[in-house]
Amino acid sequence: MVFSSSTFLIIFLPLTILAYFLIGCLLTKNVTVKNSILLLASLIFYAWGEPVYIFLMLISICFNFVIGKDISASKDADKDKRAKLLFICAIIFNIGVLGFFKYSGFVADNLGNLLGVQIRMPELPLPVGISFYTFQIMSYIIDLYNDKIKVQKNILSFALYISLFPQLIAGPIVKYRDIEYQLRNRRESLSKYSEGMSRFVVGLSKKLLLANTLGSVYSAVQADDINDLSFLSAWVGIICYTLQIYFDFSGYSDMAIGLGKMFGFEFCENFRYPYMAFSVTDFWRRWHISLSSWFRDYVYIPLGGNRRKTPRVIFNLMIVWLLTGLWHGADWNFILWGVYYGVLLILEKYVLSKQLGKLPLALRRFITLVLVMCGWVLFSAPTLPDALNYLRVMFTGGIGFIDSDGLYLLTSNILLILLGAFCAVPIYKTLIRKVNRVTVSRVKAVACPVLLILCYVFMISETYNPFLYFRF
Amino acid sequence: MTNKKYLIAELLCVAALITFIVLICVSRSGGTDKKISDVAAPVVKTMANNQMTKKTNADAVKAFKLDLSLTDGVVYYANNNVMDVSELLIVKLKDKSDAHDLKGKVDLRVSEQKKLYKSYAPKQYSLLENSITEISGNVLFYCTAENAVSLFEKFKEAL
Repeated sequence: MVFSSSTFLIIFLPLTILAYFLIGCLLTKNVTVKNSILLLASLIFYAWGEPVYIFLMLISICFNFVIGKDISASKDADKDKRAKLLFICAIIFNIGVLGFFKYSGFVADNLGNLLGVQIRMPELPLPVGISFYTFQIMSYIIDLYNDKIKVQKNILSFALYISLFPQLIAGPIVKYRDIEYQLRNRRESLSKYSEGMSRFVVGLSKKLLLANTLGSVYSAVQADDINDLSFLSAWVGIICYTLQIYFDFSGYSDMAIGLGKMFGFEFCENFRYPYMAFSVTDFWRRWHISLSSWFRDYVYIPLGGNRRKTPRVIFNLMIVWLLTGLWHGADWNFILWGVYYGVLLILEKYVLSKQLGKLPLALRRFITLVLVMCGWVLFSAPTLPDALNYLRVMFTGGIGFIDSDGLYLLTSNILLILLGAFCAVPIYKTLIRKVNRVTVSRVKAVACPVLLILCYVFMISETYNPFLYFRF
Repeated sequence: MTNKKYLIAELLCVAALITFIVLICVSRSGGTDKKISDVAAPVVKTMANNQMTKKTNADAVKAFKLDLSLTDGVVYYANNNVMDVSELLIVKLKDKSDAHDLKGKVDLRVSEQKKLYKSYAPKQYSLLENSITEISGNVLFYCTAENAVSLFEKFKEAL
């Protein structure tokens, strides 16, 4: 089930809200009942689209719950070797499951090509959200082993942490330590509910009104033969994709955070105006923050982080970015995309930091944005040669710099692009600060229902349009 | 819980995982004994009115270069409008080892269609980009349509 579907908005969400607040908050006021209602809703939410793979998630939950308790019991009994062995087994289990379902086909294809034989793997669809919930599980196991958290003894709470529907299938990746307290003690309130609802509507609008519309422009550019593209068409296309992927993913995160808030949870922010970044390092502090911080906490720092000598730090950075690329998908363009960022960050850190520091802020922002857009070419192209061809057109001009198709594309979408750019930077926040609070709340009270109605209209008229980050 | 009980619970989970993986691989490669008409019926029912019309086996042979002697049944629907690329093909094969060759023929058809529609019909091209071709044992499903995902869901349920 997706948030931007009528099944979710008209049936699932109202019923869940009704059951949660009526039974969980008004009748029983018991956190176990509230958690049970949310867990049941989350399992239905997942099973709606994945009736088979829900068993995989349940097996994963049971295994990690038991092994977590076992690790904790072994540590309590001073059996450190056993705890370490169990920890390794848990990591192998989780990476093994993720690896089998996500990467086995890719590995088999490449191994087959290398050895000149055909290795056939069963063509299994990727379980939705597996990369997100596996990383959440691993954050629990790693923190538990490192004594950063206490073991979860209630399987309902543990299952809810893994399967909580707002963030189950496309993040943010919530670390157990950030939500542990909220699983047993959280407060719902009318103000939180209304804040969450507004955030949800904003996210839904980002997805349905902006991301999908911008996406159709990029699809039109992609549908053209690369050899018929001009410099202008290529840039208009990638600008639209740059905005699309931001509104698509940050829209989903807004919806997840908003839904969480409605049920009393506080999830970490996942985006902080990434296209305002003044360096690639800064970009990754603003884009998919939960993933970057996961890799920082569980890969980069354990490898030694930046406390080692330069060659080792470079090695650590490359490992992290190779894994970040791989996390996004089993394909060479994702790997190259990860390596691209690894190289850029290393250059920024060791070679260009002084020179970049002397440039005006606006120029640094512009350079960063262009580099990010080049990254999105690698990310969005169906194959590596397609990506390289697209980049060639972007920088050498293709059939020319400006053609009638490119001009038509630009003039017919300029308002959309400007609206997207306006919403992707914090200008409106600055404007809001200048107006008094009463006016802001009045505008919000009018804007949210209007946006919701618009979203319904768009939702009904559009065909199936999944979130871009679902495939990860 | 003692160490032994934990170990048993962990091993049971691993056994459940292995069983799940084996079952899902077998179900994906085993195909079906059902008649092609039974597999196709719920898929066809899900199609919107006049979305596509039923075509003959000869049409399928022409479009996909099928060898009918290798099949146990073919269901082919397409749109009558030449500017609409919507198509649905469900083929049950006598021998599942022929499935990959058949998939190759379908892929070829899709890439030829893409060449035709690229540059001047972006919506149709986008539909082709999002077409679904899946083999489930001895059955091949191919669909290019706006609701291809829901048609594919019905197909999976019908197997």
